[in-house]
Amino acid sequence: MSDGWHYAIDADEVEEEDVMPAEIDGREIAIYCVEGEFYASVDRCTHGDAQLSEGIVIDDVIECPLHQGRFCVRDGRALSPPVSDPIATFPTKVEDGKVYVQLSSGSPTA
Amino acid sequence: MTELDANADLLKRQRDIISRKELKPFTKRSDGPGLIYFGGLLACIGATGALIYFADGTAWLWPAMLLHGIMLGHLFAPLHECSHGTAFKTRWLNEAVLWFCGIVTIWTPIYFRYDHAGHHTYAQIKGKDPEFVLPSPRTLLGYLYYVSAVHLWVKNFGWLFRHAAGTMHPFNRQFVPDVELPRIYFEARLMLSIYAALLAISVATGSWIVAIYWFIPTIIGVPIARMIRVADHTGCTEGADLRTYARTVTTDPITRFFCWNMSYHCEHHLASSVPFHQLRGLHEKIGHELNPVDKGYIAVQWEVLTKHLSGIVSPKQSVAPAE
Ligand code: FES
Repeated sequence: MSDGWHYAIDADEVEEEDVMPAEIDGREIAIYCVEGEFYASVDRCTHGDAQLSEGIVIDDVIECPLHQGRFCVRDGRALSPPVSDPIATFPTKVEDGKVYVQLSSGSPTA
Repeated sequence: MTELDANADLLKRQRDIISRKELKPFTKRSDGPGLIYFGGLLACIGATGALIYFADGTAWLWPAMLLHGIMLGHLFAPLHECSHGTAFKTRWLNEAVLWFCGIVTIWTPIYFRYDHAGHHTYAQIKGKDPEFVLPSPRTLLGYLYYVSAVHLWVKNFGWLFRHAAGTMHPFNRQFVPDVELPRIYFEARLMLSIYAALLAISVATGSWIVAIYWFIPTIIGVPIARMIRVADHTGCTEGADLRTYARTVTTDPITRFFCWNMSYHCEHHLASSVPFHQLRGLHEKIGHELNPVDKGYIAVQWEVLTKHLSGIVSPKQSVAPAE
C-alpha cells in the first residue's frame, strides 16, 4: 500500500478495550481498540524494557505491565510515573476488516 | 530511559507461569473494593482516635496512641497500592488517596513511585534493589533497627530534606529521569511546608492535638507495618527468581484487610498489574507454582529470627539495612 501504509492485523483480532502486538517491517507495533477505533504505537515502554502489548487497556490508556506507567493511546502522552517520556504513535485506518498503520511520511505522530 | 535491565525478561518469565489471556481477568480495575478497604481503615483510625480522646489525661493515653499508630501505619498499604495505580479504577481517587496517605505516613508519593518501580525491577538484587529489606548476612541488631523503623525515619526524612534542598542521593537518582526532578523537589518542599505549618500552629496555640493524634502515634505504631514488610522477602532467594524471591503468607482475613492482601506478595511481584482485590483469586490459580506458603506473620518473624539471622552483630555487615 502507498504512502507508508502497512497491513498490521485483522481488526477482529483486537478485542474492544484491548491491545495486540503486530510486526511491520521488523518493527514492533502495538495496536489498540478503543470504542471501536484503532490506534497504534511503538510496542515498547519508554521507562524500561517492556512490551506495551503485554499491558492492559483502560479507556484510552495503555498501562505498562512492568511498573504500571500509563500512556494515552490516542497521542502517546505519558500520564503517570514512572513514565515521563511519550511513546510514538502512528496513524491507522481500517479497510475490509484489516487495520493499516502508516509508518513513514512524517510519522510517528508523538 | 533509565537503566532497567535486571528484570528485562521478567514478563517472559511471567508468561512461563501464566499466559496473558489467563492473567487478563485478574487485572480488572474497580473502585468498590478500594473504597471499602480505605473507608474501613479510616473508620478504624477514627475509632482509635476516639480512644485517644477518651484516654487523654489517664494512664490509657499511651496504649491508645500505640493502637492509633498501628492503624495509621497501615496507611502504607493503600499508599503502596495507589503507587501502582491499582487501588481504584478512577484515577483522581487513586491520586488523592496516594497523596493523603503519603502526607500522613511521611512518604514522598512521587519519588516513592520511582523508588518502588526500582524495587520491582531489581527485587532481591543486592546493591540495586532500593527496598531490599535485610539482605544477608543479617543480624538481630539489623532486624531490630529495621522493625523499630529508625531506618525508615532516617530514610524518609533524608528524602524530604535532601529533595527539598534540590539534591538527590546518587543511588536514588538512578531511578528518576531528569524531567521529574523538579516535581520531586517540589513535593518535598510542599510536604515540609505542611509539616512546618502544623508545628508552628501547634506551638503558637500550645496545642498537643497534632502530636497525640498523629505524630507520636505514627512514630510508635509503625513497627507493626514494618514487621509485615519483613515477611515480604526476608530469607527468600536473593536473585531475580519470580517463583522464590518473595513470600506469600497465609493469614487471617483481618490481617489481609489491613495489609490490603499484600500477604500474597509472590503473586503481587509476579504481576503487579493485578489489583489487591484480585490477588487471592490469582493465588488460587497459580499459587502452587510459587514459593511455599508460610503460616502467619508471627511464624514468619520467628522463622526470620531463628533461621535467617547470622548473629547479633555481624562484623561483616553494617547495622543499617539497604532500605
Ligand atoms: S517499564 Fe513501563 S513503566 Fe516501567
